[in-house]
Amino acid sequence: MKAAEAAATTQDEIWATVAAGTRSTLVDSPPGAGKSTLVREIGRRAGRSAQVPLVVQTNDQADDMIRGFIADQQRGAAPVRVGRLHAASYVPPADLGAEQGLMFSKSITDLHDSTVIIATAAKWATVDLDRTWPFAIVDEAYQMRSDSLLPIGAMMESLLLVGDPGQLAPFTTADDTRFRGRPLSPVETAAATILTTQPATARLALPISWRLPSHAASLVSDAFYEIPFTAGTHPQQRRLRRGVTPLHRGRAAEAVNSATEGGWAYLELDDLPMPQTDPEAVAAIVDVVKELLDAHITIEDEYGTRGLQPGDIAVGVTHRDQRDHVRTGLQKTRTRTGLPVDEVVVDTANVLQGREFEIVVVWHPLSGRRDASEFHLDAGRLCVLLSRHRQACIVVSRGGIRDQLAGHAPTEPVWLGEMAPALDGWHAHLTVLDHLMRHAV
Amino acid sequence: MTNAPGPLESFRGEFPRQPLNARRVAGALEAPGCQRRTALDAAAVNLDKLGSLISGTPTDRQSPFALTRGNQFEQQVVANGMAEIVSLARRHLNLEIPEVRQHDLSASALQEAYPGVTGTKMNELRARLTRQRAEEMLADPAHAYNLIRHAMTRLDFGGETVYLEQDVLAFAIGGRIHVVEIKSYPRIDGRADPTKASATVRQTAVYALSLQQLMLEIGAQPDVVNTTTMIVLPENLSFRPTAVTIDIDMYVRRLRRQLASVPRAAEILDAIPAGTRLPAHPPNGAGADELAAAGTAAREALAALPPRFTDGCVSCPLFHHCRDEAELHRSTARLGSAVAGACGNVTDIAAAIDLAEGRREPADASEAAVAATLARGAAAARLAAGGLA
Amino acid sequence: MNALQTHQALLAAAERRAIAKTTRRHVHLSPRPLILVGYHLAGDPGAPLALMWGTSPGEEPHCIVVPEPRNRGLRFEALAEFAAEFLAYLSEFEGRDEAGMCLDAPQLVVPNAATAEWLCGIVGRFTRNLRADGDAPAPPSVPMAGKHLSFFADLMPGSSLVLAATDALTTHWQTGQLPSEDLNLAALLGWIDPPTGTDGPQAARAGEASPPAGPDSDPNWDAKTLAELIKEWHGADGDASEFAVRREIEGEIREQLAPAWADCWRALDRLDSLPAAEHVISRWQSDRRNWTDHCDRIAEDRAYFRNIPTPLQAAMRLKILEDRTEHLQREMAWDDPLVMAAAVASGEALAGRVVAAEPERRTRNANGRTVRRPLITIEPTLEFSRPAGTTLFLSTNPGVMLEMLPSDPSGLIRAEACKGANQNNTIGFLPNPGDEVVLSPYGKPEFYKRSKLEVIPWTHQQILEDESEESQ
Repeated sequence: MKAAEAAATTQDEIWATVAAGTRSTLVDSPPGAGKSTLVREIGRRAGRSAQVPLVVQTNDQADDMIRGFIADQQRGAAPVRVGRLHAASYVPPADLGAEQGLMFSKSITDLHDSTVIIATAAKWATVDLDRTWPFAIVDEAYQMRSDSLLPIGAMMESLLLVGDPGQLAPFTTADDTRFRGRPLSPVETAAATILTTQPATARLALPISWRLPSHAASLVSDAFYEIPFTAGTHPQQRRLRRGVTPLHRGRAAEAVNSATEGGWAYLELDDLPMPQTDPEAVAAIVDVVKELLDAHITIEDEYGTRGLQPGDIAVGVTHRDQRDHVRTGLQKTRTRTGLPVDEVVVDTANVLQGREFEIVVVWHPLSGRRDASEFHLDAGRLCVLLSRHRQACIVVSRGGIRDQLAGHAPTEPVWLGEMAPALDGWHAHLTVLDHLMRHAV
Repeated sequence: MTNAPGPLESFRGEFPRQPLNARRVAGALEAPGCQRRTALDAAAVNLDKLGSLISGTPTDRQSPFALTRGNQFEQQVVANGMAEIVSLARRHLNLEIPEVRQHDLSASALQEAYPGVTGTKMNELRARLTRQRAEEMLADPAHAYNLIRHAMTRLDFGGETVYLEQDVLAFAIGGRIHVVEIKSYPRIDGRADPTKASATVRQTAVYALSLQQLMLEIGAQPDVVNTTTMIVLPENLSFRPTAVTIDIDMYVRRLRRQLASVPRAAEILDAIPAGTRLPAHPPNGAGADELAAAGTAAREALAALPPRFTDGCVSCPLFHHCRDEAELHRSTARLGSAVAGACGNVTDIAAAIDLAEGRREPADASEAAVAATLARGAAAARLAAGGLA
Repeated sequence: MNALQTHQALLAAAERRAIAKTTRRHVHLSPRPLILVGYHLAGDPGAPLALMWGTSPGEEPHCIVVPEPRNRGLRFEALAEFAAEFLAYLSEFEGRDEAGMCLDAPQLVVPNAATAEWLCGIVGRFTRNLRADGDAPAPPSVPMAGKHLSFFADLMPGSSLVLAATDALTTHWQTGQLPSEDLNLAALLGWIDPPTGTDGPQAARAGEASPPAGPDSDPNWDAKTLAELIKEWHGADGDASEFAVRREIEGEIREQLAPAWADCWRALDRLDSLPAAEHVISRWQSDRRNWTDHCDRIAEDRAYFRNIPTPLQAAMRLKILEDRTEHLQREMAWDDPLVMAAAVASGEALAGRVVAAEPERRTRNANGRTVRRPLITIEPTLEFSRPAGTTLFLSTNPGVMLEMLPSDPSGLIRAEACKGANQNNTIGFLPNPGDEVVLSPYGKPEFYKRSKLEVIPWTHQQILEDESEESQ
């Protein structure tokens, strides 16, 4: 299969670059491009010569990486002794118990025998700085803050950095004005820092998204990525089939139909300015989720055929109170109908980052707003929300988005001397809106 | 041959004109969607004079000291055949400017050769000459002028063609046009005021877009215009020029989209009562009564044009007037975008408060949602007050 | 902007007066502050035009004027005069207690943040390294003043060493105008303290018409008056006429800056009408310590300031900045029910009444051990929809940490105490049935180990061009 070949070639190129002793390599990984697989594979190969630290950003990511190594081994990959370095307050998840070669410890000395050591950047920062490693892998380099990279740079002599440039950038809750306008600001991404200080950084990009279906990959690639990518599956490989014809033709039913037929749906409510926790939007989202489960949808993909489960569905929102209201709404529907709608994952883009689902229902970030704002126009947020799905994406919003975008004055401060932003969120929103209008119900 | 005045000229009447420049266009887009501004901009009304006539206070012009300093810096930078610019361009744009052959297309420079040409006719002349020079510059880079000072280009604004004074330096080197901006606010320890830089970048985008359109007019490609521009600023507190480059492509693309969304000025004027026009501006030395009368007449004319008051209005010469108007109407917009947004469809302050305190029934879902949110705020405040008792 | 702030803004507009956002004062007020106002020449922050200062509202403030602001000699003459008095004021705060800490710290009060940034960030920055030798030497008091001013440029949220009147006022009051209009001190005070017979908007209009508070002067005044006076200065021949022009300029300047001067005192007055919040004292202690350390560095001649921070310094600064920002937010909420109310309104904090308590409740934790987890059941006064697992703290005693349990259809909220009320000697901190409580996300600050990094690693080594770092 062409896509698989392309991916394998890139992986070999990356390995060749690393093996040649390149001091810094940066790999752009679009959503679902096999970043974690890459990290584990390079970790295994490099681990033959020396111990390899793996730097992640959150404990969940660390645990997922362990699960990945275990699964690789079950599929026949060479076994690897995995060390998990963690903080005192960390409790290993129940499913990661006694595995061969897997070791948990608060102290790095206990893990001297491990081939790879996985820990969060924050934990790596507490390791004694006298120790160094010849090579380490940094995951989520576009979500990692530059200041978190400092202790890593002190300990690791060469780096492979991998990350998704299209997703949410790191931030600080404090006023970062005094740091802006200069290269190597502590708030910029680790990737940006490496590119500034190491102009010889080898840059590669994973070419294929294995997650996004073909009709989503082209939109996401065009709207959010400088280096384009394509879907690893062709249209016939991913299908949703309704099991049950709806009793009533409501807009939720039409949205689900559009999603099952074309992979997209745009449910536009009346153009009305609404507070953040727009009850009608909540109701519409809850209806769509209910309809999805009522329809007894079957998923067909490269792994086979199976029924859609609540856990396969996610609702993506912008604000925590929106999340809370949707959860409450789903809870009430469960109580009323018995349908397990409350087992659907509901969370903000920040939390959904890095995860994948079969079907995602998105509460449009600009829905109901009178004026767009820089926060809500952020390209990374929209990209995360639209790139979690393997089968279909249903966007719910109030009308008037185009007017909002037209009425927005992008007069945000410009810091001369900073690397220009890769993406214009305003523009990305327009591109996405144009696409969504073609799937309006 | 008499031309009947179009709706824009009719509306402007005898009131003084002011040809648009990039600052005005960029400023207009800081408060987009305002029909009042759009009509005034498309009609090239002198906004500073209008603002001061209506408010009765003199316009905040630029301080003569700031102007002097700006001119001094610019003169230094362009002195000696633009030696400083050439040096900075080599370093920051990788551009070799062998020798500057400049041509001045300002009205004052052309007066001698074209006596008696004024107003719109002068604009048209300058635009025509700019176009000719641009063609020559691209066709014969070795011998033609490679820099035009005070060029004039055109821009479509609200469906009307406006003439644009080009204040930037546009060099034609090796078949491409490179834009250089000179500003006099300082770059201290490598950092420049980001608000001023934002305005600069958006203004430069106006010039660049207009140049791109000029390229299309003369049959060249718009990407002949290099969107990586160089901005020259004083270093720290001295007059030593330092430069920074920035790719303004994103701003140009935004500008193009924004201009496409500017309401059609002609349509705006169609909707106002026939005969609405601005008064003539009283001459210098006019008495208080005359000024007051003209001010009233101007306010009346403006009242026919729908405004859109937002946070971005602060930089508009009409700010005080529109703000006072919003305050008079007790609209939530007067409190800024954050508050107005939170109040959704409820545009009246008293109505919003009544909803919050349960003194008024929500008329629809939107009002109900606003009522619920604001009521929370009120309830939380009451709880806090109660807790102190 | 949350629901509470929106409501307050609407009320302010309707009542045509600013509304109180706090019930306490969250800044320290010194018994002996130094009020500073000034202008620089338009477009040239390196050319001060005038500075006016004083420590008492009753006395006439001191004023220095630079009759030709672009003349370096005149500039340093004026700055020297200012520096001498500035250092005299600061020297009042060098006395130490037995522990070696300064008994009190100075407090600079300026009309707005722009004045603070200009005076400390620019005047301080460019005078601190002036040499006492070479051509056009500056008297040593000027670079010394510059070092002090640079210290005052570097402050953290929660510090009261420098008060920008507009910032301090908007922390405590909500007006009915645009946030950008609040930057005008006179207009802001118009809303907060309108003269009898007028209301907020009227007083604000009047305030807008008065001369600006600085550091930029009124451009129309520049054109009409200042330009003439500077011309006169250049035309003056002999000491007598120079002196006369100087007096004229000073008179004009005093008139321009008089409202800013008066408004700073009015602002302090308004702030003084509020009772001090509890944590103001500990934050001022912190300020005193900071001032003491700075005095030590000055005394030992090791007060260095980098113009461009290294990545290590920037990272450390960011960490401190984040901590202090969080601490301030937390402390203000603990100290002030109206500030906490904002968190309640936004759904982050839970306000309600305890309907049941189980102090003796025990459960099994993840390791299988039996632990004491007292439970309280709360009837929320405002709907609260944070999910199970959310960590909250008792607002009256943040040492008590609670975790929300899954809700049931009754609408009551159940939370179990995980820390701070789990032992026999602390169980008394658990709220009782009937108590009105607020559970907030603000817990006790955690302390992290400071980074030990001293050398910039290769990942952050900047390729420097031939630009010097300490360029003047």
